[in-house]
Amino acid sequence: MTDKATLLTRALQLRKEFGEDSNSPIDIFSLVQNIEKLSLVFFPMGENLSGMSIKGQRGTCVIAINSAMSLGRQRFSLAHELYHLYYDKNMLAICSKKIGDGKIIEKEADVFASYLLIPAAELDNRAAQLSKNNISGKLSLDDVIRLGQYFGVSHKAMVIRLKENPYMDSDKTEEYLATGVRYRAEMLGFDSDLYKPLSKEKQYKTYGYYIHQADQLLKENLISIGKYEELLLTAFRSDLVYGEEGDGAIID
Amino acid sequence: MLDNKGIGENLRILRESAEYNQQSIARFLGVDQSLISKIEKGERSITADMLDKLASLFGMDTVVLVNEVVESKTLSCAFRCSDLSPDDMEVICIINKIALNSEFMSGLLEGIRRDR
Repeated sequence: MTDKATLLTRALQLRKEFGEDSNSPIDIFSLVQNIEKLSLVFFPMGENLSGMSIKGQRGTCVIAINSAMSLGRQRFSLAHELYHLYYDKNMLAICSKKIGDGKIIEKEADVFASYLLIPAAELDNRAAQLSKNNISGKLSLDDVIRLGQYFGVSHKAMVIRLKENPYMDSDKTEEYLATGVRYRAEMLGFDSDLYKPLSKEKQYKTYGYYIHQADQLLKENLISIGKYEELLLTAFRSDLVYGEEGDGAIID
Repeated sequence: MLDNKGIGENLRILRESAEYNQQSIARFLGVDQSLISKIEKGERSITADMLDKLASLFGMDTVVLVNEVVESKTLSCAFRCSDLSPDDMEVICIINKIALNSEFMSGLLEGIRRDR
């Protein structure tokens, strides 16, 4: 397995490429829109899969995310798929919902995803600050929730990352992992969207290069309107074909 | 176009490189495993419907699958693909189709750039 220091460096390199600093939380969904020739697909993939990435012969790539998972988990999954895109020589990756499971490359992608979304230095910094307020000198469940909210990752991803952190009480790891935190997060004043999947109508969508390609082909008269619509419908963009309910005046 | 034997061989190569066993393919297509075995040996012909489903499962264009001798593709799967359920395999087909469409559109767009 590629060592953690290398994975950390790769995560930092990618942050740099995206024009992000090494410490702040990132909006990964909007950042990937800058990747050339990438299409991003949201699709509810059931209980086993978290995502897929496919690289084509002509340089196009597709990342698909299981949109039935919580938003925090989807962000983690997208970061995981980016590892396959940049560092996996295989053309296709099919990924499991279980974090840290399966083949070596999957484990590497999980560690990379964690470093990308939760920069090491900033995590240590914040964990030190938060644990100072507790008598035990360790992180409480509420602190773990605060950290997860700050970095925008699922509770599970946060706890797994904290496993080796000196401010984490190792006896509490299992307990924290098993605790549902949505209600607790709301009581702390956070928005609980991170723990929920996207709304049903947003669970099927394709964004990015694919839509642009179809549009260009239509403009160039290389495909018929029928073919254009077929391409969009295959990619769950009926909203672009038929329009969306409630389209109209929105003050932005 | 390839004969039954050629198509069967293509299907075997793609199946094995993705580490599916014959049983999981049979389950996905809703047929008996013996039929998959016969198709791969070229003893039986495959229906157009089944061919389309397998092409999208393997992320190949059906036209390529029946006309050209394919090479094995490597993929990175967190699972043994044989453990994937038919529902998971359907998901893979759907996403593969989007990826194939994107490649198809790229081909057309490259064409106009060349012409100019």
